[in-house]
Amino acid sequence: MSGKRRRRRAARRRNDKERIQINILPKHVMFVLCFLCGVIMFVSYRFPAYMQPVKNVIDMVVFPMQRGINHIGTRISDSFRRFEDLEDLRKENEELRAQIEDLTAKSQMTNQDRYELDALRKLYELDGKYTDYPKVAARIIARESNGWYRSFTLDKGSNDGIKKNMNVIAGNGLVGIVSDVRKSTCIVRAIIDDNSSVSGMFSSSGDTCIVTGNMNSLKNDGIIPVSMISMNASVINNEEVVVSHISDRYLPGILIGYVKDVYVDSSNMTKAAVLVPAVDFEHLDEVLVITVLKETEE
Amino acid sequence: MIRAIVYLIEIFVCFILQTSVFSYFSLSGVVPDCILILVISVAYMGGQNKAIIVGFLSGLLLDIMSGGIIGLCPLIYMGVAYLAGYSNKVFDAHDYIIPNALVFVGEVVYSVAYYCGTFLLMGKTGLFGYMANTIIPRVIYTLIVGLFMYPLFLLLEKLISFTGGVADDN
Repeated sequence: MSGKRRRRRAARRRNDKERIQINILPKHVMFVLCFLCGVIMFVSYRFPAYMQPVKNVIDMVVFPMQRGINHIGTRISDSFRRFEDLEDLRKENEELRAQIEDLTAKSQMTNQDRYELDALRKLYELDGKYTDYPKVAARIIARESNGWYRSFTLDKGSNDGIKKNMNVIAGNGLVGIVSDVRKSTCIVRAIIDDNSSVSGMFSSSGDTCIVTGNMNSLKNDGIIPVSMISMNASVINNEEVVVSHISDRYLPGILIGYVKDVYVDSSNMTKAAVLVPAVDFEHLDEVLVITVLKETEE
Repeated sequence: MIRAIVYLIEIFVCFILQTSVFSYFSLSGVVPDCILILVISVAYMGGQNKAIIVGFLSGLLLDIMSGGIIGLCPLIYMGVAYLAGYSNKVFDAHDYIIPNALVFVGEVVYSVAYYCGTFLLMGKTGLFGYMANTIIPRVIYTLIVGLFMYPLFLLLEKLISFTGGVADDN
């Protein structure tokens, strides 16, 4: 008798449990989580520092995996490329040899010029302008996780001395700026990202301009727009654009790219143009982080 | 309990796939949205509640790792999960057309919503440019990957319910 009652009670409990489960309506879950989302959005916007520990913890879990996969992936793609590129390399080798001869001749001439320049610069006490910035090499381990932003994750973080707003270069061109730092990784926002704009300067004339990122035009033609060029500026095609001195976060003198197709923009007050970035963003693998901040320089 | 652990692992694997692995196979600069495939699959197989939670967690992970404001991705994933969850009523393990169609529609909804939530608010009109360059390649790529990923999720789901997942109710 008691056994039967116990069984019945157990069954009733099970029923209760099921009923409670059914009672949680999706719209209630949705409502609560939406509210939570709103709170998180507000906190991450207003008080980014509070999210930092969370970011670090998740980073600690994800980072080793990303680095491992990156290691394997690079090796595999390298081994594929080795077979594919053999012919190309041979051809390229010949071209490069010809170029080396050409360049050695030129470099001798440039060397002479440089001695002269150094002497003149000393004369004018113009040093400090072309100082070599200290750099840290880093490897890209993940990129644009949602397909919209041109940003990527590097395998160096605050443990390696990386700070927010440090400049990132590859080869000799500007790649972007460190926008977020964790313990062992950091996030770099590329200059071709839609959110980015850099104050640039034409290296020959010193006229300034604004280089803004635009994913659409980059994808179509490999270019990004340049605006706010003074009407009086004389700009020739393929002129170098470097970071200007008035830029607040980017270090002056870093090459951004080469300008072309200058036209008067719709306001009739300034000129605009397009710019071919000096860095090939599609095939970026290793980059250099400049460990000097603009603020400390001033 | 088993189900929760399996879902967490699935979220994690999808995240790693999307950010690290597929960047080696990116076509015209886009990577497939593995997490959306997971969310849709869970919505179709398990219903709204589970899908909303999975969408919330995976969106959170994505946003935290990509830097910037956290909260938009989970919001959109949850919305997609909520809508897609209605299809659970017609769930049939042998049907591959409905989930893949849902992946297609879900990715379009996600992309347009994401565009509205970020680019439109930044004043970048020109939806058609983004449509042609980002959204359409992404939708197609996601759909193709989804054809292969959905059966895997289905298999896992069957395994869970086989190993006693029926008793636990997450």
